[in-house]
Amino acid sequence: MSVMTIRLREADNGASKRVRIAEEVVLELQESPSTGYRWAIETTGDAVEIESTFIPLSEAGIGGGGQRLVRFVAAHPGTAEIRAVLRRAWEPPEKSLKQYAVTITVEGDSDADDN
Amino acid sequence: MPMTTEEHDALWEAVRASNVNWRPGHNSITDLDESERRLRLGYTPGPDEPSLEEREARSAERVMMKGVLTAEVAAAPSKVDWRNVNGKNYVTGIKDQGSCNSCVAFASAATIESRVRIILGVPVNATNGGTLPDLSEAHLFYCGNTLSDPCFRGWFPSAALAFATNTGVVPASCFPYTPGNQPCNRCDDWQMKTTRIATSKTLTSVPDMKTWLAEKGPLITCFTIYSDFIAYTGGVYVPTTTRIEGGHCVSCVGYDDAKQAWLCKNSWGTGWGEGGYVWIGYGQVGIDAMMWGVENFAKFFPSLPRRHAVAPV
Repeated sequence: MSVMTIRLREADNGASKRVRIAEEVVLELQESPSTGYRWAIETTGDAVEIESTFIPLSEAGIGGGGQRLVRFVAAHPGTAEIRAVLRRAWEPPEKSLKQYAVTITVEGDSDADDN
Repeated sequence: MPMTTEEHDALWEAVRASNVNWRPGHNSITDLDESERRLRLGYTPGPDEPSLEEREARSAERVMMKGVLTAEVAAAPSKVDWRNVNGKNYVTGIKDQGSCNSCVAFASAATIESRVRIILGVPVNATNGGTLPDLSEAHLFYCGNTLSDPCFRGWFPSAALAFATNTGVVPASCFPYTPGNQPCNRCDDWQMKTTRIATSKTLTSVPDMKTWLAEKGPLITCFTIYSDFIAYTGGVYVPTTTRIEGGHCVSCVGYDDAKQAWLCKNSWGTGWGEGGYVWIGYGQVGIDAMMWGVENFAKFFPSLPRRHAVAPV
């Protein structure tokens, strides 16, 4: 049986999602590392585990951007707030370009509500 | 959200373990994985340009042949820095490309600006230094780049040089740069204000690059960005990770054999690196696989009498 994956994009900022243990949530965020700006990811609690990859834009020139894929696997029952900030690490936080947040509720053995 | 102390310590440890000599600063690097190696395939080389992977392979090969390389470049001076040639600075101020992937335009404009000043004998810090304007990265990028969504897709040095040759570049005041896709919005009398390249050259051997830097001026160069590059705050950069984040271009304004490194002017503002500059180790990240130089001009703006080229040593 395949694991269910919920895909979230920048337009889903502020959303709340309910998942079961072992299910996945993938954030798809546009990023341009050659500008120095990157998504800094932070989560609360231990409900989800994170894995991050960067996929380049195909047919791009030098300096072209791509997509940051941040995969969260529901590990333990509970609630996790996932926050992402697009900023340069050497600049103060108030100079960040974008902010993104979603809330993930991981349910135990009982059925999760429809998303 | 800055990097945690533990993460910062881990990066420091990796740098120490790698026996390199650069300083990572605090960062917010997100955990990545090996699949990012695919990113080197995401850059489509321009005409006659190698891929990022090929650049790195060529540069790395030269490091392995260091003895031969040293002998080859024995005629070149051991150190060049166009920011200080007997007290004269031929490198314009550090700029900031902001959130647009316009590094090619910034590297190109910086290289052209320096070459103009060298040919005309007008250092930035001379009493007449202000007679030459900085050039418009916006003109290069928003008027010359024909890719769709240019601020996301980047550009090519060969295309930027072709535009500066065929059309020319106006002063920054004629089309000030702001990050973000936008129309080609030059000042009304822009055609009167262009600086136009006559000849430029692509260099593929390190001796040629050093000789050019010693005799003619800065060079455009491009390389692979690894995830630790953003954390650079000083020293000679050598990557300590295999996590790749794409390609980037800068203006190479010097080198130092004692450091075994190229001196590069970045376009991320003065708060990054060594006041906006970075030393990148010889043979690293594809930095010296290929560089582009501006040789001469068909037209300057404003028009000033030419002087003899300035030799840095």
